[in-house]
Amino acid sequence: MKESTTDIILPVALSFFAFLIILITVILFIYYARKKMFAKEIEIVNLKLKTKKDQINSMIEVQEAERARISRDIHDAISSNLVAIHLNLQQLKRISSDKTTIDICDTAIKACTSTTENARRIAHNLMPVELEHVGLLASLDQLCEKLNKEGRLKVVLLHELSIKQFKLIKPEYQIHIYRIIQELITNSIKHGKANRIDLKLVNIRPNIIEFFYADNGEGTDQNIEEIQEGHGIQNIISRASIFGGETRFYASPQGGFSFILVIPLNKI
Amino acid sequence: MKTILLSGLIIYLITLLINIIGTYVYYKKSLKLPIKTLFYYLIFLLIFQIITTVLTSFSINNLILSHAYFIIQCFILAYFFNQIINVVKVTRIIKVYALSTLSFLLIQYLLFPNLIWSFNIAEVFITNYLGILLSLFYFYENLGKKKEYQPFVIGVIIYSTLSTSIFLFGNVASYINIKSAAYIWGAHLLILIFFQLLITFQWLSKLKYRIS
Repeated sequence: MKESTTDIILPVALSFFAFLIILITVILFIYYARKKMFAKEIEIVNLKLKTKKDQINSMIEVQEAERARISRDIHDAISSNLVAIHLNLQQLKRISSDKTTIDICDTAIKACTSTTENARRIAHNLMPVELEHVGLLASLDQLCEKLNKEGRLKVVLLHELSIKQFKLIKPEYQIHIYRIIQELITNSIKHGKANRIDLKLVNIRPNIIEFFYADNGEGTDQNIEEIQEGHGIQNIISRASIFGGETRFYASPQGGFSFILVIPLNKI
Repeated sequence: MKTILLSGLIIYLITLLINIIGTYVYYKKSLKLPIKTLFYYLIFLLIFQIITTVLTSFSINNLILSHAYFIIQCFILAYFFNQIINVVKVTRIIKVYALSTLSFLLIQYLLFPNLIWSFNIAEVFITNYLGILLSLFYFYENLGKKKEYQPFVIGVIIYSTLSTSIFLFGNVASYINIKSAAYIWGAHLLILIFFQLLITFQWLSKLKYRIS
């Protein structure tokens, strides 16, 4: 009886063992298959995000190119003609003895000067000329100076970078950094009602420039995710991603808004 | 029971013959090497079935042939999967597994020569397990992709799992004196027919698609 029990136990144990191996194999297959499917889904989502990001980036680049073209057209076709009209009017004023004609000339010269100014302003807003000629640092200096002159806002720009370090940033990426700063300032004025903005550019780590931005505005009770959903902030993130930059936003309901932009020089 | 077994055997042989013709036609149209392997596998099944049937009809013990059946089947399936899974890691596993299986069985038969005259359950498990493993590898590698050999591979999984289960159960049943041999062979025949039907579906669907 004992012998027959032992005889049964061995095949039963072997069968059990065999089924266990098959079961483990199937469980492992299900586990790894699910893992693979999950990884594939993440890959698809990432690919979609990348495509979307690329679309936004190319849209921004096309937008910048179009802005530059319009700016050049305003400068070349309108401003130069206005200057010519202005000179002709001054000539007419000089040679004319009729008071009415002189008055009309004066009015026309004033209108011409104002239109030239407006055209220059519009062209500048579309594409800052100094960015092309003197680079990012000088453009930022001029932007701050202009805002300080307007008197509504005090903008302080500090930097610990040499001109050589600034030149490490490619010109086609400088426009994006400039636009980011413009967008931030617009937001501080429009939404934060700030009257002081501090800008700081530092080179703490090698091959990395960090840009710090802070205003004394009203702040917001929105969380960072909500802030990042905004069109302007989305634009900032997209522009930063063009040159591989990282963005960080900080805001509180107590007041103030801060932003950090990490600019990797080795990527750009 | 005998009549049922005989009818089962006839159905199995008919499906096998149809599949041999079908895979041959499909191979000639597609020139796909895995289909050629599948064709040889079916030829092997046919030859084997004829030999065992003849031996049984003359009341000659054909148990010794079961070893050849499981080993050759294992190697043909390994060769088939080697052709359809194009992953170096997996093909290496196939080669290592096939060689290990052969070495293990060789050692086993050298150490225990008496096993040749009996039903070797370790052999059944090891040879069938490769089919299960490789079918799962095939599905894993083709997750989210079009699976060209899906019906056949499903057939391999089902056949290998059920055949292992039946033989393991049969082995246990024989120890507890259940008169189950006819039922076991009947069930095995049923699985074989089901496997053949999946093979029919494999070549028929592809052939239809090719013609259309």
